Amino acid sequence: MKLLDDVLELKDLRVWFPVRSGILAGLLRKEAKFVHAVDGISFDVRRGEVFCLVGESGCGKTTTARCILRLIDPTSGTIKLIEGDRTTELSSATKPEIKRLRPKMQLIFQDPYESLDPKMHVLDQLSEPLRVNKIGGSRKEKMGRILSALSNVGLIPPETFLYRYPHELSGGQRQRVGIASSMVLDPILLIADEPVSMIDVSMRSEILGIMLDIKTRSQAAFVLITHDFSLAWAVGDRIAVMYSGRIVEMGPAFDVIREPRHPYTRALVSVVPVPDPTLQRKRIVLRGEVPDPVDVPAGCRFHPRCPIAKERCKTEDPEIQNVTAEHQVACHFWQEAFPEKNTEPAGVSTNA
Amino acid sequence: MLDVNNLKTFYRADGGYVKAVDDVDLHLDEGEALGLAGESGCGKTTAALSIVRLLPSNASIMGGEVLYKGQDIVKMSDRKLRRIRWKEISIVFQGAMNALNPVKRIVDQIAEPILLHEEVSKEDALQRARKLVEFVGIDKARAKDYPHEFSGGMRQRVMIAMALACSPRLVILDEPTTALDVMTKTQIQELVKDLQKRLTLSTILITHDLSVIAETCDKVAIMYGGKLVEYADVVSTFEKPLHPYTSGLIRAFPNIYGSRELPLSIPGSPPDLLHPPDGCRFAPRCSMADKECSEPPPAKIVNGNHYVACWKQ
Repeated sequence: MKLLDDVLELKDLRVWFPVRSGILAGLLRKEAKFVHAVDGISFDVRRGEVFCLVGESGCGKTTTARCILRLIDPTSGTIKLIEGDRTTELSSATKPEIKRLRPKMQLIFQDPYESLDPKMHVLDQLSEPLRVNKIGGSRKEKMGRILSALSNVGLIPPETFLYRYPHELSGGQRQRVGIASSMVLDPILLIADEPVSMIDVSMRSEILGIMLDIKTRSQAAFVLITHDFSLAWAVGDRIAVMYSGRIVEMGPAFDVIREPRHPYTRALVSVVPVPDPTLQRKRIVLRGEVPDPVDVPAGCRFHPRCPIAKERCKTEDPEIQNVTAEHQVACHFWQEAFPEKNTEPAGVSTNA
Repeated sequence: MLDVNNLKTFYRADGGYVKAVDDVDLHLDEGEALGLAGESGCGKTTAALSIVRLLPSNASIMGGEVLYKGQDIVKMSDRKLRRIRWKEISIVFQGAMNALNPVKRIVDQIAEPILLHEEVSKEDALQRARKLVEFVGIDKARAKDYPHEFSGGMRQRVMIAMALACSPRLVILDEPTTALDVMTKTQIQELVKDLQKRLTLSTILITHDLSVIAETCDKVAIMYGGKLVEYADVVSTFEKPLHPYTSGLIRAFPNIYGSRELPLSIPGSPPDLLHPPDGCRFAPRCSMADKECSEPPPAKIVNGNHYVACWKQ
């Protein structure tokens, strides 16, 4: 018996994009260059949990998501999708297999305002995924699915929304229709890439609430991609922090944000904007920028910006180490630098 | 230094006027940092653009005054206004870092406003531009680079250097950190704070992100549906917001030092500014609203200098 209900397992996933070089470089037989977008990451996502991939732009979080959905092909590594007793290796799956699995893995779009067709009413909008994937059987069954998807996203009574066009819906209702169209196929894995970054703050929680509610109800696994730690804090069960194509720290949301052990996580957490002008905290402002993914630094990729870097970090790539059974960190010196459990939130100075 | 009184800026549209800025008052002292916040479409950018009269052609200032050092910008001649723009008040436009000319070196682009607004030789202007490049924290060796060789954060530094080119006293920053990553955002915030101190600059920061204002501004003005709803110093606004919209907005932000839960949202959506509600514009979304709120709310000053426009205060 499996102890944890994994839905998705990634092992040592790599996605490298070749950099096109000129004719001259080809003639001179220069070494081919690659963008190391994702460079050896492993994680698993469990049933009914929200797994957050957090990192700055260019860290590889979106590439990872696209790779899981097989919108791009991995360079190496494995991606397993587990439906009950059936495990499919996505990276080597055949086209018909992928086609069968597509409806099980759904993407929630970044901008629900733009993702609805203005010429389709709600019924058309939700029938399309069923028709394309040849799911849902008879007309009556299809209608049943659509109605329940609509009521699950809080469009009640669902019958009254069926023949409305996007322009007849408010912003919030449009977003709900967008989510319903991802949910109508009963996916076991949902991937949301920055689902609320384009929505006004006052409406974000409402939309996130619907997603979480659906997740709880369907017990789907939820991968949330965001650059926003406070969002990951509010909704995430576990967090993986990415830097330059690697996962540098991973663990339960509380541990990663309140007791971060990687110097990069500590710095990011210390600068998360907080709506409180009286909060005294030490901000760790990193200098410089994320490394060029074509030319990643040797050793630990974070060493050129790391406040605790030593000689060893320049040459030796740190292995993933366990802080606790659930909390991992990739740093040579975390034990030395951040040995104790923080009782205070990271970065808050106690004498303030 | 800057006094905005009863400012009204409307956009012409089919069927009437969009009342984007409707009777807004702002006041800014020398060296002060004011944050102007609100959701998209609340009129914050229009209000700021009205201050320098850089409005799109379908917008016009329908009333009120913008006094800069005692002179009314609304009534000023174009010629006189040109002497104030950039030399006294400059703007970092929203998304402008993506509007840098891709075929010109950044040092030349920074020198451009200097040549336009001041009578100096090209060599002097370039000299000053090179100094500005260093001043905003870019390695001077990169002054001759082109915009595509810069990251987003660096390009935003270039925009700030351009805004500072003619040594203005007031800089308006419209969403300067919105598209940037959190670490880059912090670097830019630190730069702006540092410049404020070193040059005793006054700044108006326009953003939808209240936490940025909490961290960088002295005062905050909250706008909703074209109206100013609350205006006070940052500490008292965040500690004890008086307008239900402000408190709703603050509560809508997740806080990593708070409990792990979904923040509260404000139900409903912002008003149509072509036909705004007669009374309080926030009333349809307000949990405290009652009959009284169908009349326009009175503007009140509470506790000395805390402005709020709400019947329930």
